[in-house]
Amino acid sequence: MDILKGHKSKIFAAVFIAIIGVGFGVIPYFSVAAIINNLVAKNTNLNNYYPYIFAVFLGFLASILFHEISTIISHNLAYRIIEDKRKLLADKLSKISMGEVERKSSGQWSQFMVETLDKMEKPIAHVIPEVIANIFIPIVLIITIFIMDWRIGIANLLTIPLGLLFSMLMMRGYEEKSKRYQEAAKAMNTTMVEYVNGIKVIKAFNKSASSFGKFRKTVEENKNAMLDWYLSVCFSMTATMETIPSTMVFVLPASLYFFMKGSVEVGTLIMCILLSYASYKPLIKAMSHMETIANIKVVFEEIKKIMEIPNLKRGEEVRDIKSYDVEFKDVTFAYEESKNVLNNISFRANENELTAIVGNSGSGKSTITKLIAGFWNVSNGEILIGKTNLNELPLKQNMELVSYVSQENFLFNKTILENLKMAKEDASMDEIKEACEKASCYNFIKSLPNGYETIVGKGGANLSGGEKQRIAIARCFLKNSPIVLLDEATAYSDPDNESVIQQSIDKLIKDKTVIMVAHRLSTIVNANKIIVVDNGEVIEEGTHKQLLELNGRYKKMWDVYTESKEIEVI
Amino acid sequence: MRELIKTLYEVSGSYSNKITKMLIFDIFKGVFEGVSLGAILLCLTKICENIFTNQSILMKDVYIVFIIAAISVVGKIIFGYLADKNKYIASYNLGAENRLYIGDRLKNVNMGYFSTNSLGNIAGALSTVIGELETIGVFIIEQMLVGTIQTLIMVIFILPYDFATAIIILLTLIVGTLVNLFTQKSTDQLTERLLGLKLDLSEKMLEYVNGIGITKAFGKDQNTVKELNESITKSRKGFLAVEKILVPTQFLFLLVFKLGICVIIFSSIIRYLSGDIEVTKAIILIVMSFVVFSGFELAGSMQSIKGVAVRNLNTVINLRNLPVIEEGEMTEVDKAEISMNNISFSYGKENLFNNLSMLVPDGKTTALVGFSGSGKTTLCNLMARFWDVNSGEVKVGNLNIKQYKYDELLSNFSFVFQDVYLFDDTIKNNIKFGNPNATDEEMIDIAKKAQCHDFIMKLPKAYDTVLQEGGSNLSGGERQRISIARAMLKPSKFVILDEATSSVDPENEKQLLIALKNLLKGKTVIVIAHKLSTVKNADQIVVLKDGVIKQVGTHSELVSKHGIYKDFIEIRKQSEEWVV
Repeated sequence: MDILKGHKSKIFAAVFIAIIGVGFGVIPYFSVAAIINNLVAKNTNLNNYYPYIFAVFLGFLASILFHEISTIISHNLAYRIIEDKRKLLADKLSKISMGEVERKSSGQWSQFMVETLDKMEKPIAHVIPEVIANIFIPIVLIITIFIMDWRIGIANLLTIPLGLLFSMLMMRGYEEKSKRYQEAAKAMNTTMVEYVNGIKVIKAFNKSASSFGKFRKTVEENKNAMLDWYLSVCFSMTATMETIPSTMVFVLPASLYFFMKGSVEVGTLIMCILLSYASYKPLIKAMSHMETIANIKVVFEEIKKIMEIPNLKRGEEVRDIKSYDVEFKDVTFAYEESKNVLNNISFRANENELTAIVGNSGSGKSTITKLIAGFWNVSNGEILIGKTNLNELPLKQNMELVSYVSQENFLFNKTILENLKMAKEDASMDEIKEACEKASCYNFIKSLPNGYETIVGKGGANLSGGEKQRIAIARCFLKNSPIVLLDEATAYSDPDNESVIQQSIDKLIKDKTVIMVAHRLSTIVNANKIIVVDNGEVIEEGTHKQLLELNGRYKKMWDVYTESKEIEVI
Repeated sequence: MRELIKTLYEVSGSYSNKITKMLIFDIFKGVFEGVSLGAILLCLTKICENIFTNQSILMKDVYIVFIIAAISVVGKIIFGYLADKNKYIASYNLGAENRLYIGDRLKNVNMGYFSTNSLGNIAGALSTVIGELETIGVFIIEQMLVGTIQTLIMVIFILPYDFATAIIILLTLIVGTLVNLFTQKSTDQLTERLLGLKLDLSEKMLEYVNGIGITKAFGKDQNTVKELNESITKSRKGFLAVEKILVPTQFLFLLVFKLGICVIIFSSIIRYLSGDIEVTKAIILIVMSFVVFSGFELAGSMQSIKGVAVRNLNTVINLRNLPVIEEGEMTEVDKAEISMNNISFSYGKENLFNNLSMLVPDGKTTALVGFSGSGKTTLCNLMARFWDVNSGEVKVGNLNIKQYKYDELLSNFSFVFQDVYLFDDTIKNNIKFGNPNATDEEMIDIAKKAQCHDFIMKLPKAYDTVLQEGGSNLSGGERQRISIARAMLKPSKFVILDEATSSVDPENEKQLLIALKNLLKGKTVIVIAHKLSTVKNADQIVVLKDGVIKQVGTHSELVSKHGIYKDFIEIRKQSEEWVV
């Protein structure tokens, strides 16, 4: 429970105040007993009653007041904890490797950090004061009854074994039935998600009727399994819930009997009846909160799991980098243990040269660029920039040295200018203009009604894909890092933008160390070096001409490529 | 409250009578709760009579008290059981009925309505939101009504016994309800504000996570981090502010009842002292005051989860009211031709198309060409009735598309899009999805034509391999080809193709192209064309700009003229020949 660390004093305060409230709640019962004793004694002086009536009121007032104060404290606590965890997790995300972040979609992260964490509110804020109060009240009341008259105390406990007897009925066939409804619920949810997400395909293939039939079947099975379970336990559940608080069944006749025998006085007796009447109701209320307690455990565990993700290991001090060659020395890397994506890869990409990486999908070529961009720590071997191991560089320096251009271009929902300035906070307007011109986005930015001050919208929604990419490239111009990675940079850009983006890239990579992943082989025929990757290993290396002469894998790829260029689909 | 009950009855459909039954049984249960009060009264009466009039208590009296109390318990169990039973039946049927109703309705919703986002929300609503409604929807109504009913029944029991006290109880109830109502308004407003805070937080969080790479790249002291932290703190303060209003009102609500108790005690003593009532009655009234409000207090504590129920109900109502399209009766498409006559269309305010007309001839290939935003995709969406035109008509064959049964109309189309959806089923069933009657031989033959056969045979269970998470165990090119095989097996007349610009590795690219070529054979094809060769070979090229058809013709007709087409071809050529 180290989740609650640093909040102990608040928890203690909330619990303590809740218990004080419970204590005050007993006062009215004693006062009423005194009032009744006075009445029985036929005391006719109103002044004798005032203090007791006042005590009843004060007892009530104090008990609700303290309960509500405890509630405020516990809410404050709950929201603080949620706030802390959100900030903690957000910070954690910035420390772990990009690859770990990408294991979940951004929607899932956000969902967890907003919706799921919110689920902690109920257990912390309500359970602490309420469950504690609701468990303490019965205990205090029951003890009080025992102190007043132990025989009535015992009568007061008699409904419990009776209630438990009923609840034992509930357990019959519990396992198979609960298994059935759990499975039914799972099947239903899977089918529903598939039905909804596949609805376009379902309709396009005119399969609404049969797909809906499957949907209907699982929905109905879920309902039947649920009802089967609930209806079979319904009686014993209700019986348990109704029996336990019905203490009057035993307390009333017992009290009457003992009174008849003359062994209990009337004030005590009435007080016991009242205490007994109130003694179990809170317990039932407490039971309804038990579910939320189970919920919080799941959330805690999930938080713990995230916090246990190892941080990306990076150096602290900025290193002096003399040259910008990139070298892989026996690099091995696995996303998951035992499944190496890269196997002892070694190669060198020289300064001021273009190094192209080619290979089939899944060969590991994108992973190579992502490693250089600092997404992950390598499992084995080392990546050198100049002569310095990448792991010894602070992430910030790594990022300054390397520009990673891919199809995904995220822009923050801010102005274009703010997005550009991320790359260089103190950039002058002249620098920005120059970068935009080079990235061919100056003209379209100028044509916008608000120019640089245009808000790009959620994820850049106000701009087209090509425009977004051009702004992202302008950012790279501002950053002006000596190493540029191109990971299929033009692949998904819309066709009419492709040519413009290609021209910008031509400018961007001038005099840089360039490492480029490409499928369209004709693009990279002039590369200084082409590295052919297959199954996580470098199998060939050389210029286009050398590789063709080698007559190996590259030659085959080239042939297929030229063939595919000839295919006309219509 | 009234609205909540009304909506719940509305969405419960044919099982709403179970809710009524539940409430009726709850009333009976309340009566038996009253019976236990009777036992207390009888017990006290006996004791007082013994004290004040010296009547002796007999063993018989002990038995009678026990029997009355026992009857109360048995009654509560029986009616509680009946009420619960009806509650469960109502709840789970409510869930099932709404899932089915919405699922059924989805079949007839405009295809254009389904964006990836809306699909996620609908799936979430069907599972989680309705699931929550099953557990709290009917329960909440029960708790809120039953507490009130119970107290009212007590009032009825007490009324003949002591009019004044009954009135005090009633007044307390009314004041309590007023306090609740008063609070309700402010809580509703606050809930709205909280929703806003949460939305803002979600947005900031999403943006933070999406931009985390950039945050990492440019350092943590970025504004986004600051903004996120501010939003997190704001959300805490906002939620706490609501609590700070809720708690005092809850305090006030409870205080009203405690005051009610004090007033009863006080008035009983005064009335006894002034000789108005007997001492026995005074004692009994005082004891009763402690018991009588317990049900209603419980009802008040339900306020906090009421908001959830209301939100969930609204979500369900919205989905139940998804706009469905009106469809016709016709099933057969007589001619594989599409014509658009003077159509106008807009997604929102501005018209994208104004009086546009064009013809997609039978058995021919029509290429749509134009820069992004020119309306190519929308035009395709209108042909398959993903959206309805605002004016003019779209005809497939000789009939307006609105005259066809929607599913039958769609079954004449095959779509090849960049985003491929495959089911978590075997590859065989995925391919046969379009035509379950196909034999395995036919299926394999098609798979070969779609260039899938070889890679499928390399999978551990070949055609019986189950795809996970929509085929995440396959590469993008492989998924594409399976979707092409699926489309090929289905006897459709039209193919709408959004030509991929994404490059896959040469081997995959080659196979994909062969598969496509096979699919398009003999069909009427509408293609959003990007590749030069596709454009050049099309029987008809339609050049769009800003929703207007600028040029129509074949490549050889258009390429010689000045115009958009010529520019387009030039740019495409450049980018296809790019060399770094």
